[in-house]
Amino acid sequence: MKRRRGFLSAFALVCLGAGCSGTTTGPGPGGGGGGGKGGDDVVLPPITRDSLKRNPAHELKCDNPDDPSLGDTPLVRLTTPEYHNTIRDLIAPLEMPIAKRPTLPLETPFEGFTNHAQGQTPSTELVESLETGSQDVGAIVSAGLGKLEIVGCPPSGASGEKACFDAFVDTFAQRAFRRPLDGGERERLGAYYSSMRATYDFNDTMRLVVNGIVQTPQFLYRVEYGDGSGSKIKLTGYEVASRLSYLFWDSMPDADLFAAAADGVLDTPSGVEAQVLRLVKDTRSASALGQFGREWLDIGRIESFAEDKDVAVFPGFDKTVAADMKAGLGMYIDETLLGEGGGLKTLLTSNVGFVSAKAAAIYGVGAPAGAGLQRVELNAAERKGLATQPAILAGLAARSEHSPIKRGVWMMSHIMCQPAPPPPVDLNTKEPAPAPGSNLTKRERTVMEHEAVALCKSCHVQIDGIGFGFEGYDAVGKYRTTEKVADGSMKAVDTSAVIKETGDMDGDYASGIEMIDAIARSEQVAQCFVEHFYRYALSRSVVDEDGCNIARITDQTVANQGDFAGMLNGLVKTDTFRYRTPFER
Amino acid sequence: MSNTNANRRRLLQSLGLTGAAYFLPTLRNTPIARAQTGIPKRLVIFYTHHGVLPWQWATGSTGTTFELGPSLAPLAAHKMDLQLLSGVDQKALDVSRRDGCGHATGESGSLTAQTQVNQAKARGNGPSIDYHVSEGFKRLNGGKSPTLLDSVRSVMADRMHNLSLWGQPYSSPTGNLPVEYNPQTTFTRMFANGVPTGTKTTVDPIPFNKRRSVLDYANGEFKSVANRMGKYESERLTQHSDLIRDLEAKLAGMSVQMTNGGGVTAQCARPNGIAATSGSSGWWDATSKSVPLLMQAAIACDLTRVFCIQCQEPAPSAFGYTPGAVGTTDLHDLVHKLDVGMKEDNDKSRLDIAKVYYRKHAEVFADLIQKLKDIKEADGNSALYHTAFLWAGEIAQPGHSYNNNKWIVAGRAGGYLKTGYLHAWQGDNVVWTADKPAAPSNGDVLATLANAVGVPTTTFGLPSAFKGEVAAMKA
Repeated sequence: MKRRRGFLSAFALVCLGAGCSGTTTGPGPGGGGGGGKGGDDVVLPPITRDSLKRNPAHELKCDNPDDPSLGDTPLVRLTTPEYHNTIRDLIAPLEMPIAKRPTLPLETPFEGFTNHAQGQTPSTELVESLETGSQDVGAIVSAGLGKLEIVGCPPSGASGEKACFDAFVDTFAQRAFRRPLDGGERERLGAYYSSMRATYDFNDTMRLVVNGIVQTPQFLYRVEYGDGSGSKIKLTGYEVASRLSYLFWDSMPDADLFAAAADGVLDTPSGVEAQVLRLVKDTRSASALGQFGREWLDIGRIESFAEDKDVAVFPGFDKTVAADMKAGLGMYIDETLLGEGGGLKTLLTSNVGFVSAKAAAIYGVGAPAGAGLQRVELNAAERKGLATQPAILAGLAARSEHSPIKRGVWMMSHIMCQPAPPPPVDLNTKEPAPAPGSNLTKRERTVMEHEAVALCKSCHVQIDGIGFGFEGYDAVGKYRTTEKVADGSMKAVDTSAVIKETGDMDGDYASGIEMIDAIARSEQVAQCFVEHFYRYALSRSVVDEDGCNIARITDQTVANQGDFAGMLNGLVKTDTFRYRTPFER
Repeated sequence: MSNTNANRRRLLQSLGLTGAAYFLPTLRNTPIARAQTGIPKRLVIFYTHHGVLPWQWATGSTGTTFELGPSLAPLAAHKMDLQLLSGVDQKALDVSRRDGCGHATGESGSLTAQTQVNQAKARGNGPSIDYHVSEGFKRLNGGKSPTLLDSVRSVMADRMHNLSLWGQPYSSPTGNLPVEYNPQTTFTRMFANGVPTGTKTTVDPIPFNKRRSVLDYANGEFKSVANRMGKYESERLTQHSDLIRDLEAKLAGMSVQMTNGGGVTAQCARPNGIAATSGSSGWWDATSKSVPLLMQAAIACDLTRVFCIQCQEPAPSAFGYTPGAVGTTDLHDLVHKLDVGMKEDNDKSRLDIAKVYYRKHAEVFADLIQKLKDIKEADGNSALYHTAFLWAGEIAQPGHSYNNNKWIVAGRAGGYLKTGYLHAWQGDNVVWTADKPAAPSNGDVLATLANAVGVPTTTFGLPSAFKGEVAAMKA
């Protein structure tokens, strides 16, 4: 609970203390654009040219800072967790036994995220799984109708059946569609009910009705029509409610959100922000936002490498140790990103660890007292931030040898948003084993190999320079000062690092720890963080039209030391979050 | 706003996914039904030698956008029925790799995911996947094989250049399993009891009709919402709606009648022209024609649900080679005189022959796929849809590498497996790159196939090399 309070208080501080109205002072240095008006007459902060040039790999565009375009508004289907959570909340207090949950097809991440609309192509297996699951939902609801507290349900006799059905439409169906049904929807559902009731009994008919409701696009997709016309169409309060609930809870709106939508509270930025304060306080937000962290950082794939180690080289390293390291990484992200004072900077610089007795040696600490994983302070001279968590270091390594290349590539791609170009097609990328009797360290061998070929050098001068900052950690993530080389001798490792051709991190660093400090201070990295969350929150790619929003949210994130709450605050205030583009016919 | 849509179009164009074409791969890839119809699932294995020429195989990163290379060109018509697995590691062989003949070692481990017993016997320390699955089918059927033959292992090979040279990949827990060189012997085993017939029964249509009515209502909502949205949203909803309509059609068929008592299909018939023997000068022509026909008949008549085909080496004449030519003694020598790293810079006369050799495998595989497609099941799908059809081999490429194998799975095992997909995995000891997930072991892949055909498998092969079912292979 401490963590949730911390996140809430941080959000309140940023939101209420830093001007949620969006008002700000005049243009900043460089004066690229003055303050403008958003869709609700919100005065937008100015954007400077510098804000658009944080990342040399892709400068942002902001042609009209006073009235930025919205970007795309894709049709998004519920993800697998969203689907299961929505069924859970829709039928509560009834319950769907876990054994009856349909097994939906594995989701394919697009640009790293499973909720990206472009990765949501429906399949035969999806449709058939949903159909199977819907039969069970229908059976559970029709059998437990009396527990749903719907007036007139279940009916005491045939004469009350229609009234029960009408009340059911106004409650259950409305919650399933996440808005009141329009006339046509009500008419079609009524016709289906009547048609089935003519053949089957009431319970059987209601089973089929529920079965049908949870297979409609209004349930399976987040359908957003908006209300109005023009180039920016304002989302209805109900549509904003769904955006908020699925972003923070991975589920449907609750009664308070529905009420806020009905009362028009969500039609204003301040109303939205008030709900966000409430949503982030709820424990359900940990799961949804934690999922963002895992997908952003590609943790699932990294973890799959972390457990695959050569036990001949690392005796004692087994699946238990690997599992403890992975669990420790999850707790680290949870605390440093979402916890008190949490956010980007803490994520990148904290020296805490969550350590089991069995994995303690890898973390460089004594076995902590108590069972399970314990929160401990790690040696600040040895470890700093996410990139030095053992599970990350082990995941970005081969089975028996560490890999500065993997570590550098990951940092460039996920932390800096300046991904290294892919290797040439069909290049044999096998890392050669050291020559027998060689006395060269991995770093020395890597330099030799890449210096020798101009084609390699052009990219690896960036990749390796960053990856070398982590030479102080072996392939299981254990800190070290020496490395065993092929001739059997021990040589001192060189952890100096170089960053080149970035927006604001270039330099020579005496150690990886120094490099991490520079990365944590970087505005390019802050923008990278914002872009990932922006993509996750909107379930789509970042496009040119998003430049103004990205720049503004990054400005705010930088001003707030990279905290997560500041970024959320910036995002929910944008027109992109509360408006949609008109449909193209 | 036109700018926004232009951006989206540009994005789709950059991915080669413009307009309706964006949805086509899945539409082409969506059969009208899946299992749960009583239609049996089968495991078919096509086994070849000398790996592949990696740069001639396929290109693309993990996903649905990939291109078949020249070696796989004969499979173009079946591209959307394939799942390409690039980077499969034979991790068990890392544990106890033996010196000597790499082919024999690979054969011992490829389908067993186990270490090698010894060089002489070239056998894995455990059962191969075909045995595991056929035994699983027995267990699921009360201890008795559900079909006349629990499995068939047929070989396309010259007796003078047969398996005794290298060993073979099929084994029980205690020893190698017998294989059959003579197609007519297999034919006799299959049809000793005559041509089987299936029986049909009518089922209660009411539950199916109810489900159809629900889908009909839901589909009406899809159409209504699609009509209110823009063309891109409408395309997505229509795609979903089409799949619902397909499911309705499937339910309609099931409510009329369904096959009962096995998977005997309308195409079940005794095949004609099965060769009497192999080992003659025309052995390649005989076996390459007869074995596919036997496989087709075995599946159509539900005589076995595990069929293995080993293409030891096509006859030299089949790929334009004369032993002793181009400075080589035989095919084995020719292949190993290629340097994979040199790609097209290899000796052209040798490389040209090798290219035809590798392409020949794809021609046979394509023929086998087509024969499975030609069998129509009671649910309207082909037998291929209900089959997991693995193309594997003993080594990855001519250099005797056991890791980074390029395997192919055709068919969907009743909807369990995805198709139209390339996995560009990172094989062992290869630099990790952002677009390459970790490679599974061959044991992981084989367990996935066993589960796909309905044999519950929580581990397979050497335990320390097993990580689990490959979720990414599943639909």
